[in-house]
Amino acid sequence: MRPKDVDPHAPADSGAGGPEGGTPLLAVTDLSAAVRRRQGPLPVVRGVSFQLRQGQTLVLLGESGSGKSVTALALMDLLPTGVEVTGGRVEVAGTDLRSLTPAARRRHVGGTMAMVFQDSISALNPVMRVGDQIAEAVRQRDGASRAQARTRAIELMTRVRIPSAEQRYRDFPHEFSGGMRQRVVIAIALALRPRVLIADEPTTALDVSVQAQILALLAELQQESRMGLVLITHDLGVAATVADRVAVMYAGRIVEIADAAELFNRPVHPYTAGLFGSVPQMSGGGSDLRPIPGSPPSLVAIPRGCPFHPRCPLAVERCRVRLPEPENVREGHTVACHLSQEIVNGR
Amino acid sequence: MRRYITMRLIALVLTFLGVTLLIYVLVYALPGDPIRGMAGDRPLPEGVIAELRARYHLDEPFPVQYWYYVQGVLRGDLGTDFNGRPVAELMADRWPVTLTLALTAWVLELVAGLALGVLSALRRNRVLDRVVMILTIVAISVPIFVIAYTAQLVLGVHMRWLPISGIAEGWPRSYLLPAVVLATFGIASVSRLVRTSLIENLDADYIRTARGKGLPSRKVVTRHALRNSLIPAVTYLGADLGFLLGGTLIVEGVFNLPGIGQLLFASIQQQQGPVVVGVATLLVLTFLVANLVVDLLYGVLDPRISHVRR
Repeated sequence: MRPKDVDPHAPADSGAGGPEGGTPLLAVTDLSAAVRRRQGPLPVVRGVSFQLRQGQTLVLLGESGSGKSVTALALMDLLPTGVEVTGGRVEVAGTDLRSLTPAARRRHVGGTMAMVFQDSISALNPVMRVGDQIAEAVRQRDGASRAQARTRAIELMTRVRIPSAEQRYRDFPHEFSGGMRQRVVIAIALALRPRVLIADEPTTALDVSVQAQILALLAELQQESRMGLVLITHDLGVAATVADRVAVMYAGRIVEIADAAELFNRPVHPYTAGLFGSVPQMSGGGSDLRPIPGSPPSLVAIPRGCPFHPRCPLAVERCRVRLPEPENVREGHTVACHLSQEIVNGR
Repeated sequence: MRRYITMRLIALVLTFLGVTLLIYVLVYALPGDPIRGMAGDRPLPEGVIAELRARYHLDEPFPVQYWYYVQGVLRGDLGTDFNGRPVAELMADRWPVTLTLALTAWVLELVAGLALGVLSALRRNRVLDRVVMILTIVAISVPIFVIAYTAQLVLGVHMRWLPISGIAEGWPRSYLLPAVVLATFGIASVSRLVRTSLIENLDADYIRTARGKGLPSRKVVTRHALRNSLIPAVTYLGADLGFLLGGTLIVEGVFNLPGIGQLLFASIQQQQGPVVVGVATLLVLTFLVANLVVDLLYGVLDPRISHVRR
C-alpha cells in the first residue's frame, strides 16, 4: 500500500463497505461512557465512532470488558444505574438521541431500534407468559388491540420458527429450551419493527448447533426487512460468518475498523493480528497457536498511552506515552496505532 | 396445580398434628395439679378428686388424652375448662376483638409497608428513601410497649385524637391506636423487604427488555418489577397474620382490650390447661391456613413454583 493513501485528517470512520450506500441509519461519533464513582467517573467507553447503513451488519468484536456491551446499551439508552454517557453523539435515523428529552428518547429508540440480549432466561420476565411478552411489545409499538396483538405475537413466534406457536403462547420462559427462548427474545425485538437491531452476544449461551440456527435466522430476518444489524461478539468465527464490517474493541476503544474481508485478510493493529493468531487453524497443523501474552487491562488501571502497549510485541517509546488517534490506512480501514503506517508499508 | 394443592393440604394436616402435640405435651408437663389448684387450701375428699380426674381424663395415659383432644378438634370441640365451661364459649366474645385488632394491623402493614417500600426503591438513596430507612430501623429496634405507651401519651392523652383504653367506641376509633402500634414492626419489615427486592428486580435484565419495548416507567414498574418483588413481602405478611394474632397479648394489655391474648394470659396463670390448649389450637389453625393461602399465592405470583409441564 502506498503511503499517500494514509490520511490522518480523514473522518474516523467513513462507514464504507456493506451492501448499500446512502445516509447512515445509525451514526455514532466519539461516544464515551463512564461509571459514576465517588473518586470521579471511570471511563469504560472512550471515543467510539462508527456508522451503520440499511441492511449492513457491523460486528463489534472484543474480549469481555472491552466496552462492547456498554456501547450497545448506550445506543439503546438502556445503561444500568451508575453508568452514563459522558460525551459524543448517537444519531439514529438522523436524530441525535442526546438532544431529546428522556421520554422522547424512549419513544424514538423504541420506534427505530431493538435489542436481543445474551442471556435469554434473564432477559424474559419469569412470571409472564411468553406470548404476552411479545404481544406487549406489539401493543406498545402499534397501539394494537389485545386480540390483534395476540394474533400478531403468534405470527411472530411462527416467523422465528417456534413450533406450535399457538399452544406455546401460554407457556412461561422456563418451559422453553435456550434456543427457543432466544427465538422469543428475537420475536420481541421484531415486534418493534426496528430499523436497527442490536444483538449482544445472542448465541454465546447456546449450543454450537443452535448457535448456527440463530445466526442464520438473524441473517434471514435482516435480509427480509433490510435492517441494520449491530452484532456484538467475542467469537471470531461468528464475526467471519456474518459481518460486512468489523470493529475491534480494546479497553473501551475501537482499535481497528474495516470491511470484514479487508480486516480478516490484512489486519493492521497488533491486537487484531494477535487475536487471529490465537485461534486454532485447521490448515495450520495446530502448532502455530500464538496467544497474546498477558491479559486485558482492568478498567480501573488502563495503561497510559496506548492501552495495548504492555502486551504489544511492536511497542516503542511513544506507545507508552501518547494515545494513538484513529487514522485511515486505506479507504474505509481505520486503525488506532502509532505504527500503523510502518505495518502497512512493511507488508 | 391440583397436585400442588393436595400436597400442601397433606402437609398442613401433618403440621397441625405435630404442633398441637407439642403444645399438648408442654401443657401436660406444666408443674402443679390443676384439680388440687381448683380446691385451694381446702383438701378435697379422695373420691371427688378421682371423679374429677376421670371427668377430665386426667387418669388416662397421655396418648389417650391426646387422642380425645384430636377427636374433639375434628368435631369442632375445643374442650372445656376445669369449671365446666366450653373453651369455645370463653373465646366467643374475645375472638372478634383480637381478630379485628390483628386484621386492622395486618392491612396497615400491607398498605403502608408496600407503599413505603415502593417509594423508597424508586427514590433509592435520595432523601425520602434515607428518611424511610432510618424510621424503619427505629421502628424495628424500639420495644413494642415503649411504642404503645408513647402512642397513648402523645396521640391519646396530649392530642386527644383517639381513645387509649377499651373498645367502647368500636371500630375503627378504638382499634386504630393499638393496631398502629401492633403494625409498626411489620410496616417497617414489609417496607424494607419490598424495597430490597424491588431494587434488585429493577436492575434485572428483563426490566431492560421491558424498557427496550419503549414502555413508560410506570408500566415497567407495576407490570414487571413489582410482581416479581412481592414474594418476600407476601411470605412475611402470611406468617405475620399468625404472629399478630398471638402477639396482641402485650398490646391488648396496654390498651385494655378484652381479646384472646388477655384470656390466654389469665388461663396460663390459673393453670387452665384446656383453655390454653384450645386457644393455642385455634391460633395454630389460623396460622397454618394463612400460610396455606400464602403458598397458593406463590403459585399465582410465580408460575415456576406450581406450573407443571404438560
